[in-house]
Amino acid sequence: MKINSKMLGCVIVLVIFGGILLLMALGWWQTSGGGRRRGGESAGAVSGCPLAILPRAELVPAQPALPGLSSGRLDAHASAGIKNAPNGAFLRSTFAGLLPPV
Amino acid sequence: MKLLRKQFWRKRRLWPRYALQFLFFSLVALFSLNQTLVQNGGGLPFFQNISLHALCPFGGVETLAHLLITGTLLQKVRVSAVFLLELVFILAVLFGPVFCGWVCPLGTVQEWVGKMGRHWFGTRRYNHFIPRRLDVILRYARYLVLTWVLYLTLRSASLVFQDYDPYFALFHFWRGEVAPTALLILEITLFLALFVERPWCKYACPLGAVLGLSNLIRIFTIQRRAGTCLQKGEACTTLCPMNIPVSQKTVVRDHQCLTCLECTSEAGCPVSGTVFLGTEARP
Repeated sequence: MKINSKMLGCVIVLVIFGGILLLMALGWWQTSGGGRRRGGESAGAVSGCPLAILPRAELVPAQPALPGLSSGRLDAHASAGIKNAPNGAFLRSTFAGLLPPV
Repeated sequence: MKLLRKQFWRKRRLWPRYALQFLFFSLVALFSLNQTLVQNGGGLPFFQNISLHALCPFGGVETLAHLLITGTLLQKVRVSAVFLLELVFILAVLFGPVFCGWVCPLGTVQEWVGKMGRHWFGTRRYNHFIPRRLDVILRYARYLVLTWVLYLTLRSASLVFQDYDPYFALFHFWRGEVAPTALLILEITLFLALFVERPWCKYACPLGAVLGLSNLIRIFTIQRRAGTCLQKGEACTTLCPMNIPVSQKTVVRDHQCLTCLECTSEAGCPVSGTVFLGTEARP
């Protein structure tokens, strides 16, 4: 079986880019962060894979700045709220003075 | 004139290789430049996590032994480098070290510089400056480099080779993190490329040493049909960047072959279907 340069070029592109895309889809393609231990346990690594599932806290959108509330205080509340509060509790505690009584 | 025109179009038939070399060189340069821009607050966000360490399969070679022994990667080396190494191995078992001949950006740059040398000295003189015997001995130096790098890497558990790596220097020379030794080796390599084709690949590349072994077991090999060979011009031997005497072999299994296809009837060989890439015919 003979193979010419065009076919070889196509195979190289398919294997390299196809392999990378497949690995990305499987979530095994990591391009940043620290080392990864055997069994998939990551040592503080952030996956460069666009299909990687982020932790819930990272998916919370940034809160807009409000009058009378400094951004530093908002950040502190936000991080504390995301870490500790159940759904809705963070918003109720932060904006207690601004929201109408229920 | 007619012969020259024929030669020109013959060379153009290898355009897929030249296109892929340009593509991979551009991609690696883009990722490297983008990383610098990201560090300065700009750059393309989609590529910001991709570093050169993530794209170098030799990082995978270095870390493989470390991974097998300790279960962790070397500092700076990414999982992607190991996966990329696996993909390169798959290609190498099929077609030989096509990574070196078709993908490696350092090989591409050496080839581009070599074109100037070929233009100055002519095809017959260029790449034939080193005496044959010395050349054959020097080719095994890359296995010594490989052994040395693996030994130091395992001993220190860090990327020791980075301080000597011309590939790293080529795509990081504008940043302060490149060791002077790596820059010096890059300069020497590019200077020598004016006289010898791919000097780094031939005499020093540790990844080339690993991948070169695949020539012994590869499925698709470069073959020469003795029946139709003219045995006169020896264009295949003259054009081979690694100085392999293709005209004296029926099947090329030399540890230095890059599968660049310069010797085949698609490019160098004037007789159609005489030198080609294919599976060996069963007797």
